[in-house]
Amino acid sequence: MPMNERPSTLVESIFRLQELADYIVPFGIRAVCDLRVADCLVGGPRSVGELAAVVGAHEGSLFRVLRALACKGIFTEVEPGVFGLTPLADLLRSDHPLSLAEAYPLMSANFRAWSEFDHTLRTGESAFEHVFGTDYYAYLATSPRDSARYDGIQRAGTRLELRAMLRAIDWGRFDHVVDVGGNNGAFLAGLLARHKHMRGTLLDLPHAVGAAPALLAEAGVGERCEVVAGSFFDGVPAGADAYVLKRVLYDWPDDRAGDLLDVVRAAMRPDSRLLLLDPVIQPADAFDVGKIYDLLSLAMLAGKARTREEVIDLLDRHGLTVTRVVETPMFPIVEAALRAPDGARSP
Amino acid sequence: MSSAWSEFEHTLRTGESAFEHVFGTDYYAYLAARPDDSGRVDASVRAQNRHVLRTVLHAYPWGALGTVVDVGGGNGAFLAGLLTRFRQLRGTLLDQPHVLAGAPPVLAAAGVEDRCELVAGSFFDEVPAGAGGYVLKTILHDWDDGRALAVLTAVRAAMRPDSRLIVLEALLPPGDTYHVGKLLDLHSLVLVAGPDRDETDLRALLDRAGLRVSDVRPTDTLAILEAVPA
Repeated sequence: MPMNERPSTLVESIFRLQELADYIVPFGIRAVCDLRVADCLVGGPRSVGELAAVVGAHEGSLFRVLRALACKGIFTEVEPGVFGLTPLADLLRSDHPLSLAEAYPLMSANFRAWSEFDHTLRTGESAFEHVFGTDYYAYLATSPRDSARYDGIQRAGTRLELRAMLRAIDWGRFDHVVDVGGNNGAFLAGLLARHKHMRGTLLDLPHAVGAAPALLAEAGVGERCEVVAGSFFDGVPAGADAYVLKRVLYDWPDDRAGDLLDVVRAAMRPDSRLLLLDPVIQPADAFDVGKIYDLLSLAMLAGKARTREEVIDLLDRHGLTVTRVVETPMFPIVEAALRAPDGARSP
Repeated sequence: MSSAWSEFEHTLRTGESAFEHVFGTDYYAYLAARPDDSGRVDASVRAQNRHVLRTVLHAYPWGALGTVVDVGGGNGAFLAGLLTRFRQLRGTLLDQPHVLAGAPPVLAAAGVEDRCELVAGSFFDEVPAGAGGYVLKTILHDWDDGRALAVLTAVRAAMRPDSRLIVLEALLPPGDTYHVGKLLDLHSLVLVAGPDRDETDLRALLDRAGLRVSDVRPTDTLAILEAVPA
């Protein structure tokens, strides 16, 4: 069923709204992820008692959570008190190639911000800053535990993005790629692993790149990738073939996003390409994940996802011209180049 | 509230209320001190009540009870629904003073205030005596056996030989079958570490309080268990 299909009866509407407004299931999913319950079911169904002993849970409570999730298709109760995996629960295994086990942590700082979302709605300000008195990334820099969780979320998202984005364009034509705000390097590692001739430069804040050397080494690309710790507002390594901004621009309101584009533009050669891998808002009621990400950015950072026209306009105002837009199963890749001087064609 | 849910892992590891773990006080005591949050809980319960009313009003001969005490009836939304539909019925609403404060407008809006008495108090201590029916709607699932038994004992002591106790609780279907009660159960688990009882457990509990189940009527929302003095 399309995600925005309208229910036809009042009762259907009530059920649909309750399902959408519910926060019990999302918290239930996060709690069993924290305990790595799915990992313990890889060998087949197990009794709740056995599971509780293995993961260190209270048996009665674990039963109730699994029962609730099973009635929504996540886990299945194969016989009374015995639970197994379903296709949805499979994705919560850490060893799944597209594992989402780390995508749903119980990250209480985020939840506290969300519970002040009405502040954002009234003022346009970040609910996170309103609650914590500091911006989201500055907070992460001071909280190793939440920074690690954030890392896990990014790792899980990046697995899906690599799958969606690697084949979407010909990355092989680039010899040197800078991932600007590339966090722990998971995306760049995937890119370099696929293109053996490619060199990479990873740029992000010190706490964000902390885990990068190990991750890059594990992917066998450590020797082809330089790690630069710093703020992308201060400067970006010059002269690369491609600059990637993956889910970075929509974190920032127009003025800051513009500052970042100016920094990147200053680093680009005439034949360099900027690749925006960013949620782009579709018109009207059409479902797209960008509209959901947009609220995350709004609540946490007072940032915004943009429509295609807004992206083109923003780039234009900062001396960059869109050369093409490639749709992918997740969000589009917007490719841009330096705007050629009047009368000349961009290379 | 979200602070409690974000400590869900504590509940899963210990079986204790995440709410108490975070706030150091029980959920209802917290609400008593917080008019804002208390009002939100009220509104949320009111919305759920409409659906419950839709399904349970037709499923039981409420009119035959004559007088009904809604034990822990909140702001009276459920009782107002009963009294609206059954014109000959008279009601008594029992709950804590801060909860009852929200009741007069609810009852007035339904036009039933002249048939409804408000009694402020704790249902652990005393329940108004001599009514035809006593309602416990989603009360027992918030309390462990000891506390639930205390409520039932107070109700039992107030009942006439021909009084009916009507317990409205979710009875959960076995296996993977969807039931909204399976989700709401986690709410009770996280906020108050409420117990998990099936029909057998409920019957046993009533039995210990000197009550015998005389009728069980499932509905799409809450099941109706009728009990009489044993």
